[in-house]
Amino acid sequence: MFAAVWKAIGMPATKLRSFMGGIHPLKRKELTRERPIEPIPLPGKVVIPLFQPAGKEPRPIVSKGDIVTAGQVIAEPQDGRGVFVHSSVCGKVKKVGRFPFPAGFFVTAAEVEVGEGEKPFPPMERTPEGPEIIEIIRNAGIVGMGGAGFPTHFKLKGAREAGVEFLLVNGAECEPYLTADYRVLMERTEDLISGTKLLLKASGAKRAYVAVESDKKDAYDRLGGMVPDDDVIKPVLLRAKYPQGSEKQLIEAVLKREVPAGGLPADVGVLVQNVSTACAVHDAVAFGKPLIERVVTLSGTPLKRPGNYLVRIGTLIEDLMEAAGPDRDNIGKVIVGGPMMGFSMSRLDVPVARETTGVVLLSRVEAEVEPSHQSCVRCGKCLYVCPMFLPTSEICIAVERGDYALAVKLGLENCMECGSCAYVCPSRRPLVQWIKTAKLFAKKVKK
Amino acid sequence: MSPKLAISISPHIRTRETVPRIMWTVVLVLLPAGIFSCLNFGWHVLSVIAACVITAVVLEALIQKLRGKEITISDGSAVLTGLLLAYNLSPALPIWMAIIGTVVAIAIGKHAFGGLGHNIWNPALVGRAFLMAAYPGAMTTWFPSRLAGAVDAMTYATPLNVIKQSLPQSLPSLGEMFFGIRGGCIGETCCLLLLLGGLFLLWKGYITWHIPVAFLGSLACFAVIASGGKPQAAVFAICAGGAMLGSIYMATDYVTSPVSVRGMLIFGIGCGIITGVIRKWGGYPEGVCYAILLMNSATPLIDRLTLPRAYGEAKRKVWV
Repeated sequence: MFAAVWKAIGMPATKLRSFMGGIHPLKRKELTRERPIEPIPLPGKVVIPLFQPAGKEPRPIVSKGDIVTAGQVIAEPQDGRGVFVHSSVCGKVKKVGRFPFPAGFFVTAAEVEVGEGEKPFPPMERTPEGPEIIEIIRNAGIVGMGGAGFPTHFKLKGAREAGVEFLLVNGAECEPYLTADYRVLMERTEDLISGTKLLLKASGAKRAYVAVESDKKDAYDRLGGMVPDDDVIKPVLLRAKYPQGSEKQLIEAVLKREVPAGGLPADVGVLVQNVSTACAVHDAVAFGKPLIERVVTLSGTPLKRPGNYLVRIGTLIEDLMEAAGPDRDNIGKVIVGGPMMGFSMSRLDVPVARETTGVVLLSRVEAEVEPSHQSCVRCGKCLYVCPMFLPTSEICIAVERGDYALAVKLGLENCMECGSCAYVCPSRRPLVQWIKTAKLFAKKVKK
Repeated sequence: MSPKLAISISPHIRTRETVPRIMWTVVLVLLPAGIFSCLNFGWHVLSVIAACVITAVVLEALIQKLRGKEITISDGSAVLTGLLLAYNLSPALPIWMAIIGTVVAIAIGKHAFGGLGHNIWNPALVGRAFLMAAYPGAMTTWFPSRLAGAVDAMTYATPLNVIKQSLPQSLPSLGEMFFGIRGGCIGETCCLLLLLGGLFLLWKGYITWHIPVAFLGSLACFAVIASGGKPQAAVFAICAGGAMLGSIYMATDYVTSPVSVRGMLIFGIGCGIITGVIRKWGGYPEGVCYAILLMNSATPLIDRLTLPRAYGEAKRKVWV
């Protein structure tokens, strides 16, 4: 009877898969959800960062004055983890030097003045196999496009060596505002399936699940209608909850497997790749097209035309914003990434990187800074929402006292900084800020 | 020129729930029980409540000023402490005693430990415990329930008194107990209103069910066993005295109760059993206040022993 009532009020018949903890923030996805992917006009210049979060920074092989074409290699990897970096436009190299990066520091980057001579990438004739695909991915400069930017070829290599069973294609996109992956799911479904097949071949996994949150049910249905009948690739519907798109929480929800602390998904036989990454793999293998552009959600109330834009890597945020008609007087905060984990910008001459999922603008009112935080009242709300089941309140009380050793003992380093705790904290404590700081200090203490 | 931009560490959005919002909501939810009390015990009740609340707020401001701290009386926590203390006092208590109790609650119970978030014991209950020790006579002089009809005011006793001292008076029916037509402390009598308020807080997510259910459940079980298996003893036990007020509004105090779910269950069960033990064998007819204070003392220990098992960790860590 309960099930009948459940169905009658329009609830899904089966219980949606999910994980423990998490939050339901205001999503604001309606701002850009129905906006198809749209290329922005080429800017006057781009600044292509060579930075990658793992391994040595690739070495630039162009210098001032060189003429480059879109897709030409401008930097070479220096170790096994490194990937190639390509010019995203045709033009002239103006400078190779230090430029600001969204994460708040300076990195080596190449500034290219945009010229002419764009050529389409012709289809490739050969269909490569496993290890060869991994090499193509590396040559195409593909990194995790869901936000982390970890080199994809290196992840694939590890997965292949570990002999993973499952590939999870991550289309959860749980960050509020962001809809880039959703549009990719809807508009590039075939490429996504092709990319998924390539990733299966490259990693040696037997089956793939494409995971989508329940607020994107149309994408799930579309996938269901388009995947081949052989049951190798299957879409899965997950409960819409933040941070469902986090690797460990995704594995937990789809496969009920728990990645050991300090371990990798490969330890439980899983490889996770973002949907945009899968499409980039398709582009690289089918057209020899390196990762030189991506879909970025540009959203927020101070914009007249928020949307999902196809953007060249290295486009500066200030140029990107122009495409959406910003109300300049009402911009209070510019966030690169989503509002839960993204970085707030102090300047707008930072480039869109390969892992930039979105740019979110908050109005002056929305960006108002909380006056001050209060003492922890030990309400425990941070514990209930922590997807890593950490005693956040206790960790932060320890951090406040400067007791980093205790903070580490309580699990500081397992924190992935998803921000669920700080979102719910009624005392407005800057929990993520303390945890980030404490991680730096804890490292120093260890050394 | 680029606009002036705000900079902060993520997350850049937050829930609208804040400590002041929660405190003021609890205050609002408690008000109906106070109004009921005025009808039940007369208007003296109102002056006791006003004395406690005003003293709490003024004293908190004074102490924070003296300590050179930010004055935070607008966050509602002092108001709530004053109100809860008043609800735990006899309706016949002289105003000056109520004021002394509030001074102890705020100055010693709360600010001696460093203010909101740092106290070990529920401040309102510290105030009540002090008054019970200092003025036991005044604290146990009761008004009869006006709604129940005329009773001799001089010799009136609460239902728990009747049982404890085996008085010849008749007990109110369970229905009267539930609707609050009985004698007792100012805010504890009307179970119906307290329960409705508790359900509202539960719905808002301000409290969880664990402590009230564990508290009342274990108290009810204890009462049934102690009475030799009478089920109505369970209803009497949870409607009598301050069980409802204590379990929903005092034991769930964020600062002085455990943070983890397992910790809250242990805490609640401990409160229920200690209450039952004091009622059955103790010197006082009612034990809610001391039960909560005792379990407050155990809270840091419970917290340390009930840390959640971190995701991906094979074993639960114990933090000593």
